[in-house]
Amino acid sequence: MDQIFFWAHTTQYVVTACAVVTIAVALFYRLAHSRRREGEFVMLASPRAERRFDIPSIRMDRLAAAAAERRPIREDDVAGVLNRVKYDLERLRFALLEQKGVHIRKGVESELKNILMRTHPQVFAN
Amino acid sequence: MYNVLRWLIFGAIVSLLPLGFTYLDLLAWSQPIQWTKLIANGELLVITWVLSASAFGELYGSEQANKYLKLFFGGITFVIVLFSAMFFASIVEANAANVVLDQYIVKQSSLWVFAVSLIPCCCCLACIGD
Repeated sequence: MDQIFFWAHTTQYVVTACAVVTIAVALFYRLAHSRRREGEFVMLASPRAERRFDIPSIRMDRLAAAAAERRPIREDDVAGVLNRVKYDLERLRFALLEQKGVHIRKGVESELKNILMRTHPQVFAN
Repeated sequence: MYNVLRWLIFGAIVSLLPLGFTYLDLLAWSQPIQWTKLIANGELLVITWVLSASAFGELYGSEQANKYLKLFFGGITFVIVLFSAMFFASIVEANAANVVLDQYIVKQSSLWVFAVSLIPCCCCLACIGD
């Protein structure tokens, strides 16, 4: 009887704690993810980053519009901009990581890369 | 969201059908219906760990996206599997030893564990994506 009582309460407490932690992590992740998306677009569209790191291969005006409208980057935001400059993803990533105060996360990098790989597969062929 | 809904409908709800049918049977035969007797042997605990294990299993073979989140939610779900199994084992052990169980505690705990364990399971499936 005592054993049942013990296991009943222990299981209840453990499962409840698990659920609470799960909800907390899920909410935290959701919040962090939404903030990250807003911040990334603003950063990538900032004129300072454009000037300093010379990133002409991304349409800053279109990204700025995406940031202002709080919408994800679409394919037409980057389409047709790689015909004169090779898009160097690694250079962009390291350049932005070096700059203090620039809010760069991996999410945008991969999102941009996915879009660019669809729109400009020849750039990533090598 | 699609995965979560599919799991809730074809996993959680379908797994409760035997209990529902038992309830209807008792109703049809005009027997006294007591939820305590329906789930006092830990039936809900079995459903709980099977559902949790199935949600945990869905994480394997899924894409690499959200891998840390999947690891965390998978771990949480596995803890629930372990504890519900141990609780059920203690009930079976008590029944085998002819110990009189406090059915109210077993019922309350089973219901609570089942209801609450759905949260991590849904999170597991939600982070898989559609």
